[in-house]
Amino acid sequence: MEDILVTRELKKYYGEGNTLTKALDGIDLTVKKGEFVAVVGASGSGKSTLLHMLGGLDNPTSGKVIVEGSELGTLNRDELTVFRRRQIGFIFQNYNLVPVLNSYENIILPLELDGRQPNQEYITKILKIMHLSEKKFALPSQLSGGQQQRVAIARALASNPSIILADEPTGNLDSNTSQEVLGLMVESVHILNQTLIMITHNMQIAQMADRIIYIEDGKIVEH
Amino acid sequence: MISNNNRPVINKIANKTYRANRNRNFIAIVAIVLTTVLFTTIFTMGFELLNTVKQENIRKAGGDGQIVLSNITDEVYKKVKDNPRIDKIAYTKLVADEILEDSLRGLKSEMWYMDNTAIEFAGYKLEDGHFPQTQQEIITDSKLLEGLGIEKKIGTSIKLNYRVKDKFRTEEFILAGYWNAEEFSDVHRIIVSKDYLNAIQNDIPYTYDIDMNYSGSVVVYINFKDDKKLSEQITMMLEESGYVWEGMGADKNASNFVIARISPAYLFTASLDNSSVIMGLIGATLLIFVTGYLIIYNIFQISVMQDIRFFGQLKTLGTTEGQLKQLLQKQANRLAAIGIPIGLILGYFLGVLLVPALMQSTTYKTADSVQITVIPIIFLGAAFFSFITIYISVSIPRKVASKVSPLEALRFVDTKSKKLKKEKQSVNGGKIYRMAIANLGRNRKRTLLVVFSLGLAAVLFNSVFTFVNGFDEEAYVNNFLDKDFIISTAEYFNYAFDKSEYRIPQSYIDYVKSQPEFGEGGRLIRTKVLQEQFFAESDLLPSPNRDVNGYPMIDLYGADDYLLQSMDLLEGVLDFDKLKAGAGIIIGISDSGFGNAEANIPIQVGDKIKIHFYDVTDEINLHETAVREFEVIAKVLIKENTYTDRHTGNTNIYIPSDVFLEYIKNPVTVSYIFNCKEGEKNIQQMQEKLEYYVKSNSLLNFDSKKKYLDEFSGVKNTFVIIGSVFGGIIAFIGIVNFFNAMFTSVLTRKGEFAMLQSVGMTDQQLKSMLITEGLIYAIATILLSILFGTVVSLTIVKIVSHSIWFFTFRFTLLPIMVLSPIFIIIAIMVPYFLCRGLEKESIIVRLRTE
Repeated sequence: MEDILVTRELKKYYGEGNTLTKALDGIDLTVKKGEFVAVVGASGSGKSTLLHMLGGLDNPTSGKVIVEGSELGTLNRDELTVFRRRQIGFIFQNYNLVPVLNSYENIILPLELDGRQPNQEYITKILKIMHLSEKKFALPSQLSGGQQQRVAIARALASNPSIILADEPTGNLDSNTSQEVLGLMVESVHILNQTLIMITHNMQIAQMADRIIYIEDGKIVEH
Repeated sequence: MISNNNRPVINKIANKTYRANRNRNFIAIVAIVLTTVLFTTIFTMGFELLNTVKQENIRKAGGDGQIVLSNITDEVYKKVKDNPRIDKIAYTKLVADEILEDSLRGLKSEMWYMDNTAIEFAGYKLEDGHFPQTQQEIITDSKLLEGLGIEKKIGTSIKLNYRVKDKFRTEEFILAGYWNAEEFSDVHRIIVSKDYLNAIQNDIPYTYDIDMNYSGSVVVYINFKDDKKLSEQITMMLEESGYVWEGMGADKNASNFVIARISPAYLFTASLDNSSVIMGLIGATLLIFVTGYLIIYNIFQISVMQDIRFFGQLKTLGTTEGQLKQLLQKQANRLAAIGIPIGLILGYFLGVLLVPALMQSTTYKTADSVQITVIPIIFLGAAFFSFITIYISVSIPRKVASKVSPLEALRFVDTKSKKLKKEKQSVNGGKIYRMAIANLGRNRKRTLLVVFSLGLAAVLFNSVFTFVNGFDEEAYVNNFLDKDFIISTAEYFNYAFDKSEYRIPQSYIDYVKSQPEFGEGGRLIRTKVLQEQFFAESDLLPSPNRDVNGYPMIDLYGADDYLLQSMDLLEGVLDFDKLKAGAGIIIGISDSGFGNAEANIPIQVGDKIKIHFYDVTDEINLHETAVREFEVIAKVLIKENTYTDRHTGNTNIYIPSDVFLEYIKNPVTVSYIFNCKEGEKNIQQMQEKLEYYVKSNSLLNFDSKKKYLDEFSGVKNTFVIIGSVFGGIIAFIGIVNFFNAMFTSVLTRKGEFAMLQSVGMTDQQLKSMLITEGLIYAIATILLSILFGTVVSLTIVKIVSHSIWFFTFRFTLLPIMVLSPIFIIIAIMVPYFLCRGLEKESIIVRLRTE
């Protein structure tokens, strides 16, 4: 299978001299299309920083991030934004839905921002997989936490991105709901042949992944 | 109750929160400063206006003193002066009512004895010298000295010809001192010493009750210890001394009748409740309050919304409602403590700048001598009103902050009413403009509030401008003179026609009539007052002067047809047949100066009155020459500057000049009044010709509507300046408010924008969304302003304009049109620059701030 994501000697340093913090210190990572990778590490290990770098939300100090052949470092601000909405689907811990848009509108928001017409069939399919058909027109404030996160996942899937990046997607949910949401997420990734990189604390969840990466002090370590 | 000492911690939190809100603080201080500036300026101006009006009235009344006893004898003075109610009493006696110097013809000059209190009351402050002591010493004012051509040097001798009781005298005086005459004072006094008065005493017996000659009569000015209930105090004082006055309903012919009145200056302050100045002040205060309230409320409400989670956290940690209220109030107090003093200082200076302009626009033309004093009560008042405004403005935000539920606050996403909201049945809400609209709908109450408060500022600005723009110079000038030109002698225009020996020459009138610009005109004629007098056998005519029979003296005029025809008919019909037949008279009702007729006199159209004609040419005793009966055929509204000899007090009665001449031996032409042919150019040319004409004839003069118009051309500008300053501040408050609303709405949603950008919203799209939001605000505000501006203009402003005689309502939305682009520019610029600022911060950082 083709390599969809490659990083080379990826470094992110903050501060200088005595206060120098090495958030990422030479990450070499390759992810194949359709793979589900779990990133595990303690608080402050650099796993969120890595995710931000992969999604083009932050610039590395040095090194490269190559997604589907294009190197993020060569893109300007607007190109990065366009890259994000086309190639990356984000799922955040706190859902980050737009409060004034209903579920459907939130889901298709990245497409609309891109000026694309949503493929109704595809969206309906996603809504169905995520068990959201009934809640299509509900506003975020009318949904439970689990439902909101399912909308966020659907949003990440909607633009059919190259990679889905999830940062502790079930961190705010109770364990039953977490299982349910996660189950749906993994299922959808498989059905739609999506690539998923997910940060988690929870080893039980991490076990569901094809591969687990451990990060300590900004470096990938073997377990 | 368990109390604990938690004050330090509350103070600490209040301090920290205060510091964390720099932007809000700045805008709040600006708002407080502006509000205080408005209060201080309006109070300074109001107070100065009241004060000037009072000073002016004191000056008009001839001096300070709550009450005046006029034309009394020395005996009355002696009996009254030691009354225990009296705080100060000033004694004056007229020696000569005319100084017979040709060089003084243009000035109304009189010779008086005044005691020191009287000089003080009159406000004569000697520039140089001392009060007159020896028999020969006099003091006078600078204008009179200039008129006489005498050097302002103490010890200079002055030879004066003057008339005392119809006897001519010449005397050599010595100048002991002088004071600077006020620019517009109408009487110039020469004040003699007590010694001189004693020496001349026998030549000036009191004869006012016999011949109404003022010389030798005493006028006293009194200040009571208590300045309230003046009328009752006069009654008591006079009763105790055995006298009566009008206020007791006494008979004017009674031997113990005294002419007493309350000084207009004090009448004015006594009747403050119906004064337009006070009404204006109250109105303006309310207006400022509302303006200030809206912006300060808005700032705090937005700030509380922003900090709501923080308040929720504090509550979770055990902060009580009272403590939260305190927290907010402390911050407000601190802002007030900075903003109010700055506002007071700025407001004071603004007031000082505007007061002279305001004075110029009133009839109180002593603008030059306006002295502005720092009056603590103005500052206290302005500070008090500002603080109250702030306190009330903060009351709702204070309540919101204190009532916050900890749980709700933590989940608070600035969206109101989570319950019962319908699902949103749309599929294209992700479009930029739809999102913008939806964002504004998130907190409809706040959006509406912002739009309303902005709109209100625009409406206020518009209303102030509309009102001010309605100042009608024409109406204002018509109040003084309702014909294009009036020509007469120089003395006539100095209000000294009754004493004038000089008559308007026929050549002057012929000159005017022969000009091509001349349109139509007519003469006003009467008699020399001291030679022929008229009394009406009627109780229905008010008059201060009465003959031996108690009949009121009247001012009878003969008027040419042109004047009679153009008089402003109030009642009855101008029946020329009756008039010409010598059977009818017209009663003139004076215009009170505010476009309304003075209290109508009781005589009715159709009433018949007998007029007694007297000749007093040769002797003191009246000699009746004729008695005729006339019918009152009409009442007309007259301008005193147009239709009288400008020396009034008696009822003005008009008959055709030819009828008048039938009865009168020695007619005198008072003035010739005329209009030019249509056209501004004609008036301009006539004005120039007359100016040239009187230049070489110093005894003649003229007055014209144009002169008044020129004189008052600045008045409109004054109104516009003052209105613009106020409207401008109000508009500026609106702009600050708008800025604040835009600014906070962007800043509070930083996290949300980061999220949108993380899912692919470009900077450009974000900018478009925010600019769209701003434009919706701006356009909603503009539309609302136009709607309400029109409604308010057509109702309140129109009514107020109509109620003031020199304002004509002219509808305009120009100020809103001027403000609109500013709103639109801010709506574009604020999001634009804020986005630029956001771009500098990384999305990651912003995502965390969520």
